[in-house]
Amino acid sequence: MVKKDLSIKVDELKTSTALFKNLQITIGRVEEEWEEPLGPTPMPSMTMLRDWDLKLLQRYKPLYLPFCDLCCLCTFGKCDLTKGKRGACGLDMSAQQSRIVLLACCIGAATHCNHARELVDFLVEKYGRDTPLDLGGQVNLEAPNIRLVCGIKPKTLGDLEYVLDYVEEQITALLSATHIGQEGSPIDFESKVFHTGMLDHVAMEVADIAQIVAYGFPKGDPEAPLVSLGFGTVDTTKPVILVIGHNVIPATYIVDYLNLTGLMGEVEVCGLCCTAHDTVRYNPSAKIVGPISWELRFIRTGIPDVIVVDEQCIRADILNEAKKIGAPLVAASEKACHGLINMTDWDAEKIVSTLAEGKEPGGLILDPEKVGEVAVKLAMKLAPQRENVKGLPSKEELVRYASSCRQCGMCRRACPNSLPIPEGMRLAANGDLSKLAEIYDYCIACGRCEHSCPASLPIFNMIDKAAEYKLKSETFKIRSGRGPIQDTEIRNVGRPIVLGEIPGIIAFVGCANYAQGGQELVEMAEEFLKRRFIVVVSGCAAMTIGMYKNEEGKTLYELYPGDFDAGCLVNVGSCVSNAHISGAAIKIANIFAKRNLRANYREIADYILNRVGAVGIAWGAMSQKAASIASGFWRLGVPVIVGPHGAKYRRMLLGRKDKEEDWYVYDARTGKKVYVGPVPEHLFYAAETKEEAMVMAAKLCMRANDTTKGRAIKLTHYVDLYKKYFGRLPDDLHLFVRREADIPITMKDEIVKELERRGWKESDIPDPTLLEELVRVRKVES
Amino acid sequence: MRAESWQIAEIPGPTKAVILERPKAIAQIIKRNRTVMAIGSEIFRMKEDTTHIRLLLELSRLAGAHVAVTGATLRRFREMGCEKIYAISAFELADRLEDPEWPGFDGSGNYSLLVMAGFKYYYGWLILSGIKHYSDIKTISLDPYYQPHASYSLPTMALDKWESFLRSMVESLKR
Repeated sequence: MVKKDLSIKVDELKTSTALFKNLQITIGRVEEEWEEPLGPTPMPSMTMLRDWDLKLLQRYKPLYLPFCDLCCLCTFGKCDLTKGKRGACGLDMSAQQSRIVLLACCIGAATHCNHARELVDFLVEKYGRDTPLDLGGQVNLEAPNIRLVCGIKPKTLGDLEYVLDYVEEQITALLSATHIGQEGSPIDFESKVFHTGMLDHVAMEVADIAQIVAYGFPKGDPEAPLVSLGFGTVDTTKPVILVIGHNVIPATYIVDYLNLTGLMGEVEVCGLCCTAHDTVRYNPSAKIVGPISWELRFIRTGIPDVIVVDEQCIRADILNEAKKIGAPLVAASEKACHGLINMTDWDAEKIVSTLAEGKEPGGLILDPEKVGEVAVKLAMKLAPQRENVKGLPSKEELVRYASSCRQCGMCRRACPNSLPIPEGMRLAANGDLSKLAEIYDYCIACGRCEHSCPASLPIFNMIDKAAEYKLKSETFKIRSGRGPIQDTEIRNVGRPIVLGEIPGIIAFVGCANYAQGGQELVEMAEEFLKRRFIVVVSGCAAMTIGMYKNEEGKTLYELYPGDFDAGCLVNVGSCVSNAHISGAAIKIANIFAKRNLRANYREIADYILNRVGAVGIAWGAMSQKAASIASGFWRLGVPVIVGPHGAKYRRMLLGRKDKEEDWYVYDARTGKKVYVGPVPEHLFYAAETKEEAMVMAAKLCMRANDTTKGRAIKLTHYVDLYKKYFGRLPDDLHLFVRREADIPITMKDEIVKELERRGWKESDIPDPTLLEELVRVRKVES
Repeated sequence: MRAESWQIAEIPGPTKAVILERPKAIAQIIKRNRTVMAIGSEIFRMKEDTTHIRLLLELSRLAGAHVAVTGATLRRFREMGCEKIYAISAFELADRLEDPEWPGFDGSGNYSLLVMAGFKYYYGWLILSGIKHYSDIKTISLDPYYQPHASYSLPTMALDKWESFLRSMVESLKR
């Protein structure tokens, strides 16, 4: 990339007037001296890490799954790309699919980057550029992604501006590569996808550490408070302000205004999606209603008196929904104005009266402090008037609606999960609401059923009404997002992770687009917690995991500690907190293995790929942000599994365990190429069922560097889960056993018999690397 | 029969599956090819009983097709008494099928026909699309929903009619 700064070092400079020794001139940003040497890839351009990407893509080849046969991105088209045909621009189907993936990732990364930019600009303005990035005494390695990618050690909020300059420039360049007549190779598109993902993690890290230090969020605290989660935790006798989105700034002002005016406790502040996560990190007395799929569900009940939206994951029809329940909408971000009048410069009282009297359905207020005042005043004023607002139909109305259902089946055909709504309607017409209530558990609350109904039945409201008793009983506890992983925690678990004695790190991340309901996520998380994996969670997935209780009425957050350790459940926080998950993997390479971090991306990614048994499971991944987050993990060598709907990201990155030649690495000790087996087997994989995902996750935790003890532990979990769902030993078991000592003792007899049947032979356990430059003996085989 | 996607918004493009309505003809296509039948996990959710599953397995046996079950359902099939079946994930199978050098489950070479049943609509949609674009293998969707990305598909039909259709296919091979 083009650097804006200039640094010149001269040992000796003699002029006609003077002799200068050790002269250093720096123009622009001054980088503090740092004991760690600058690595080979500071602020890499699009192609600087291409060689690393190509190594990954050689092993994990894209499997493209086009939605349709066409490209319709320019006026040449539509172009038919079926079976090798090329479009008018020359692009073929593979390049088109990878281009769409890149576009999605650019959207995702740009979203986090701009979120970070807004936060940093605002917080610099409010608290000053020199505000130190103090993440607490236990977090000295404050920004592993930034150090790794940018090669700088940020000290202040102001330093983060410099980081964002770089990320913004790169995202623009990446987006430009998707224009017609630019990139033509699918593999190069894929490399750019990886680059975008890497930048996304930098941007997310900027956003989260900025808000943690400025707002006093928990700083890597394993005992971050347990906070209220669920529809039923909202006290509907009080005025209710609902905040939706991802950018916490307006919500902090709502909380501040309540504190300032002594109204805290008089008004309920509750939230949906990541703004809710961050609002409770700011003030633990706020409530989380639920993940994104509770948006329509909660609003349709009529409970919110005021709805405040900031950015990301807000329904595009939020204004219509707010109008239906007579709640004013306050839009607080330039990115989501929703057609509202800009009231930013209006007097707060004038805004309140205009909205309270219904003269306008909502207002755009781009001054977050004013949003705080307006939202509170509005809620206080409107709540008494809105006591009798009716959201859901009565049971009698529901039955009447159901009786007018024509059983055409369009709702089912529109439903992403093909739920049996017509059957629910048929039973409901006779007063039996059980089927509709059952549908609630699997409904992702998109509302497509209603739009498809030729009789205009309020299908979604009917489902909600049938399950009203479930909605009201949703009272849970979730641990507030703790932010980064402590350096000391990494010191404690680094060795057992790298040696394989902790069987793996499983990160449940992403949205709530579940194919079979959210409970599957809880079952998976519990399975891995019981097996003493480290389970890390964020975003909507973190909320879903908190939305189920055991027989004693406790959620997983109440049952498992919040440390980054075996058998613990770590909620890092909102979407942007995902950077702490990649950050933890990076920290292991640095803190435990003493690998240089600074601008040393290839080596660290190679380390993680071969040694850190981490896997992401984005079971309900839906958004473009989820795509870019995943791609950042891929470049670091961390595989990601998505749920069935995730297949719609249109391509997988799959390894071929049957192709032995794909699984050779260098032994860094000797330079020899050594077969290590298919570890990890895939980089991006859509599982069909939770059972398949669990078996695959356990398998993907295996790494080339596992010690025999570690591999035996990992095999125990893989074989045990496989047998549970397949009823026999895995047919690829022989590929993962390198030495007899790898075989779990409790399974020895049957595994030995299977290995004999396969003609298995022992193989070497190298010091694995894909990078020739890390070979210590300079005799590399071709 | 209308060539209309089951999920409303799924629009495929210019190359759409031919609708097959004659059970005997489909059964013969399956028999004449080197066929692998992929059965997805959704098969257990489609109906409360397992008659349709047994019919599919019987069809594959009579047609000499290999059966690959996906979605970690092998145990359930084994509990039904099925032993000669293969387990693989759906996308791994798609990936292998797109490789002309893949030796198949028995080492005798790749398949000429993929038959699919028991998949979530969109999941099957994507697999069939991938194979349509990236291989020469023909595909038949045996689910009771029209799948345009297949080479041949059943029309959308009710579950009881579908079961009768499967039974007719089986009977035609017994004759």
